[in-house]
Amino acid sequence: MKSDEELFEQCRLRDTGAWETLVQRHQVRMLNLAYQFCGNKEEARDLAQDIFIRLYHSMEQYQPGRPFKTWLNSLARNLCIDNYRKRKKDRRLVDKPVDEFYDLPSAESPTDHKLEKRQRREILMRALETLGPASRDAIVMKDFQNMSLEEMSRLLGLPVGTVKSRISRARVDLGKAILKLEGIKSWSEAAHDL
Amino acid sequence: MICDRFRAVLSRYVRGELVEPEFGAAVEHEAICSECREAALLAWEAVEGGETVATTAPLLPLESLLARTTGSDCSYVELRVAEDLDEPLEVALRARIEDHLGGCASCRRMREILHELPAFYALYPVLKPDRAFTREILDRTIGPRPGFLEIVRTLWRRPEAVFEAAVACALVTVLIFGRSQPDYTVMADRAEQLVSEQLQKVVPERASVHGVRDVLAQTGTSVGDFLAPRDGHLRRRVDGVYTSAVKVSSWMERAGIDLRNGDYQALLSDLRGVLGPLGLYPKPRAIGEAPETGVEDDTKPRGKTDDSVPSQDAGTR
Repeated sequence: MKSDEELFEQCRLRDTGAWETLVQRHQVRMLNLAYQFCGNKEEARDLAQDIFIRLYHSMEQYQPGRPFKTWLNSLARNLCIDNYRKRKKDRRLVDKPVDEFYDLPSAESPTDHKLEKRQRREILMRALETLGPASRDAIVMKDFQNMSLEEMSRLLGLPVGTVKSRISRARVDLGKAILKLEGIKSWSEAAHDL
Repeated sequence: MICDRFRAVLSRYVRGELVEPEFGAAVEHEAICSECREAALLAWEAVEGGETVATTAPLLPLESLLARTTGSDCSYVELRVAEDLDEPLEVALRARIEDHLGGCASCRRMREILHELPAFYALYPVLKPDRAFTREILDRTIGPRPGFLEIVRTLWRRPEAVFEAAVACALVTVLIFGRSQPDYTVMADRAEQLVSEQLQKVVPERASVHGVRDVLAQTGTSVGDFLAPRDGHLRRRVDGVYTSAVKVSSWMERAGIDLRNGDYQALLSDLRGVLGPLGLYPKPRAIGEAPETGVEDDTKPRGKTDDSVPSQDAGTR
């Protein structure tokens, strides 16, 4: 199997087959990266497509010898952050979770358990939405994409220590947002019981 | 724009107060300078949170500094607890953090929720791209696949493409069908037919032993030329023809059968026995029935003599 770098070299020579292979190889990751940034399926789809289109049109800027994945991640991250900033201005709502995307055991778990999972998922998505771009970026890269501190350091052009503290701060912000939303949820449940 | 200038206008930039051409220059600079981009991100986040944009490090009060170093400050503890998720804290620092956690319910709750984060992440939906997704990307980059009419139009504009396409088709056809098994079967059947025709010419005319033998040899040669065997399958079939010819002539010599002596029925029966299992024996014909084609006459000059019976090796040409 050819490496990403080899394929991309062929893409630069306008080899359509190589381009198709490259798209197929990275589309799942890019689609989910976009979704983790924006929390909206339709928007994630458009955003992921934009990533590939930007990649295609900026092939000439790629420096041979540089890891392709790092370059793609950098490009994708920039686009996702730009999009996230625009979104934050729009203040659009996070799309509601759709069951077809979730792997929920149906036979074994009681309905209450399903409901709880759904509620927790909604809390997570809303809590992520409250984060600033830098915090969301840190959470997505480290906790969702499982990037190492060194990879993030290279990608962001920051020292590892700075990256580490940014991640910690982002997690604390997310934790606070979850606690806040859980508090709202318990309050509304208590009010409902009354 | 240079970094210093960007930092100077950063506060107004993230608030959306910059106007052209400064705004354009700032956007351009942010796109190419990773450090300024990160600074802009943090500044933007600070503005979102209602803070002022700090251009220098904030001066902390002495109490705050002391609280941090002794581990009694909640925000400091929260950050350390978050760090602890990736790599364990130093023993001394951990002890101070645990001291704080022992008396601070909100920090304990924060620690719990931080430890629950992976479980929360696992609930985040995972998307799978469909074919349309990939197709759209390809359409928007390398363009859509040409339709039938478009192909025809292209060929019309560029006639030499027709020739190239024809050559390509011919090559593909040869590659796919050129050496297929059905073709060999047809050729082998044709070989059997040749043998049958030759035998039919000779046997009813009561040819001599030598005549039959010569005809079989000639048939074998012509079959070999016809087939030009190139692989094991054909070679076996042609070898079968030669073997049968040799068997028939040897048997006739051993038996001392002379067709002119009238032992015609015995010859037919024996021929059937030898050639039948090989599938080479001609269909039975009534005695005295006229042959379909020209008559083989043993007085005519023959192409081959007894010595010219091809060997098995010759048959593998």
